[in-house]
Amino acid sequence: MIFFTEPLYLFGLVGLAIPLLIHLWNQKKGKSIQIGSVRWLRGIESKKAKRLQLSQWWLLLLRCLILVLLSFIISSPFTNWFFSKPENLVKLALVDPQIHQEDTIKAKLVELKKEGFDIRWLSQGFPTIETPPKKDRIINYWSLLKEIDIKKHWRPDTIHVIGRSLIKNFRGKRPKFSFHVNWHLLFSEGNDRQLIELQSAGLDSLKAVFSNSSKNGTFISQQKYATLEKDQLLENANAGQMESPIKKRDWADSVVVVHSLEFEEDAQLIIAGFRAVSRYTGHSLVLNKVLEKDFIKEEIQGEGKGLVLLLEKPLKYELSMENNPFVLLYNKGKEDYGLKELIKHSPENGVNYFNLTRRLNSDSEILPSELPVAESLLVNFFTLRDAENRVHKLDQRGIDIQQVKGINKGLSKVLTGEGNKPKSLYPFLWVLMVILLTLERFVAVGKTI
Amino acid sequence: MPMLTNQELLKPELLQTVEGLELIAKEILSAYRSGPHPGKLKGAGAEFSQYRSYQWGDDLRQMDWKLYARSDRFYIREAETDSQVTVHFIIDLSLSMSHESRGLSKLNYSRGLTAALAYLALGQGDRILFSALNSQENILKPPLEGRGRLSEFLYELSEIKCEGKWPEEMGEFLADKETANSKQMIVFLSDLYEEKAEISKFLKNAQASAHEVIVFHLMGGNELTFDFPSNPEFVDLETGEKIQLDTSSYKAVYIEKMKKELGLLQDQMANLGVHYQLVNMDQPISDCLEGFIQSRNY
Repeated sequence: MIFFTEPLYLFGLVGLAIPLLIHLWNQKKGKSIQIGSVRWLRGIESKKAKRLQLSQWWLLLLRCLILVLLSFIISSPFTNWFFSKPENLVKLALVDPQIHQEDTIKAKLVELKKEGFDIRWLSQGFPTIETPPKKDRIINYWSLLKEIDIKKHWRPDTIHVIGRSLIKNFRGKRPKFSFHVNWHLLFSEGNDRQLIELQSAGLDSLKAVFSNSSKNGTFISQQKYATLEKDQLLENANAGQMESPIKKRDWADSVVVVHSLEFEEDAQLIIAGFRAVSRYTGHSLVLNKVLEKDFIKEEIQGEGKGLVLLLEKPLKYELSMENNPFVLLYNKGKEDYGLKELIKHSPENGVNYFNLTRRLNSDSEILPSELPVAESLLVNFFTLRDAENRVHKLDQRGIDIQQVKGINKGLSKVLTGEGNKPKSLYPFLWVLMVILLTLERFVAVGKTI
Repeated sequence: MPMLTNQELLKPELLQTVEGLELIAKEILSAYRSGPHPGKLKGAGAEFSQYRSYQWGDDLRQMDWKLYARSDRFYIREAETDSQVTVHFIIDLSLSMSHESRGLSKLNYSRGLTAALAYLALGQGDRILFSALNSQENILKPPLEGRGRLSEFLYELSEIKCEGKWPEEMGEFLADKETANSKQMIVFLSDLYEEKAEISKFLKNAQASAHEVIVFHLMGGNELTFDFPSNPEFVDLETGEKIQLDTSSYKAVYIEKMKKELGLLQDQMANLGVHYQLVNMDQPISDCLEGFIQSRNY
């Protein structure tokens, strides 16, 4: 039995009418021409008439065959006549080592074992479940499953995957597999709050930075941990006992945006971006937007004051800005649309100098929304360097099950789950197509010889 | 002035009137003179031979006015050309002569060519004879002399039509001539398509009875290059036989066959001792005059 997974393309067979029509059109008797004498025309045809007539029919047949073949190929044909050998009629189940301690999972594993499944860890090399699991890295399910496809240790029909439904485990585009996947995914409803680090806040206090992660999102929160008062460390009652190295982050506490009239829109967008960052990090920021003409230079001196300058012409006077945590400039004429990043570090002007690579108003090529701006500001001015990995590990955002299952395409439509994988007719048909094409060319050229 | 193509020159409406034919003849000659050719046409009257009294229709350029002044009578100077030649034009009127190449039929081409040659010959003082033959009728007109008689010639030329085939029996056609004294030149225009060697027989007789025979073998451009639309049905003009052929596939075979036949024909003509000229109707008509002028030693 031959069957097609995309049978609608068989409507292409309607195109068979085209060569038939062309053939009939050519066969039609041409115009009558009166000639002085046909003596030189006699005898020419009888040599080759029969051969020519025959080759015309061959050509027609070949061309029709080619069209039919094309239609078949596009309709994705499979056949049940030859199976790929079901020697590896394996029942395979893969478990994410991160979750094997869960009770529900343990129960499921016992169940699967009873049914005769070959249970392995969903990690590099796919060791059997008897060996101790390795829990260190965050695994990417897609790449691991793809490995099975590539390395062909087994040729399973269906694989059961027991894992978590977190976005971080499904990195990248969903690949096409040559087997069915049965997903058994854990969904978490809870909200996980974990300490990332302790930061010094000013000269006399400590704050704790937490990552809060749930199915829907991850964000960072901060809480006052302890204050030093008169040589005594007063801990915050709600904080609880925590152990962590203390980090000093030189984040700005306030931001002043100085702009000329033309940059009103850009300034507003940047302020909004800082506000979003402040919300996300839990770090309070005092934001100020000032027109150039109202600008008093004394206002920006001092530590902890981030500075953003959006000016048409550079300032007439020199400002000493080495103590500011950052200075973000927009230089007319120094736009760099080639860069993907909005903000670029420009150490040649000073250690804390940054360049805004493009305008942020409605005229600019990319229509900026709040998020890319906030992201750039966060990444450049409010980094959690070294701690980012830990945030990533604590990330609990969940994936939508539909994204995981994907749309049934191609081969997955025909897998029956009984270990009989239909064989694709593609290679066979393509070879046939090439043969027919060369044959057609030979006959077409040969008839004029 | 740019040269007119044959199609433009030999317009059917002109070819059917005497005035038109004369116009065409003059055009062709002027085209010939403006083209490259070895030597110049010697004007008539290179050397003075004798005076002859003026006859109506004689060329006024040959009038000796000084003599008129002296004698009050009109006299023509006759030139010492070679002894007068009678040019006998014979046109093949079989149906195959209606073959057209680019809209120009072989018959019309012959009309134009004959008109020009006749004009030339009369201008040189020769006598011209007009004949046209097919199986249905023979036309033979009395010889004409002097430019004034051109119209009569051209009239006959304008009236001819194609019919039937080349006559099998020519009989006494070439025999009775009042031209025993003067040289005779036969100019034969045909497509040389014969079934039973009737033309060859004719030519043999012609060669025997005349001093010189020029054969203009008229071939259409499309016959020589096999330039026909693809997949036509060919109909023989004389016999009505039909053959269908795919022109694109057989071009090479046809041309090879044709070349062979033409070669045989040329050998045959050479053997007969006739002056043979293959005419491609797509080439400018004034090129044909070359052969004639050289043979005639104008």
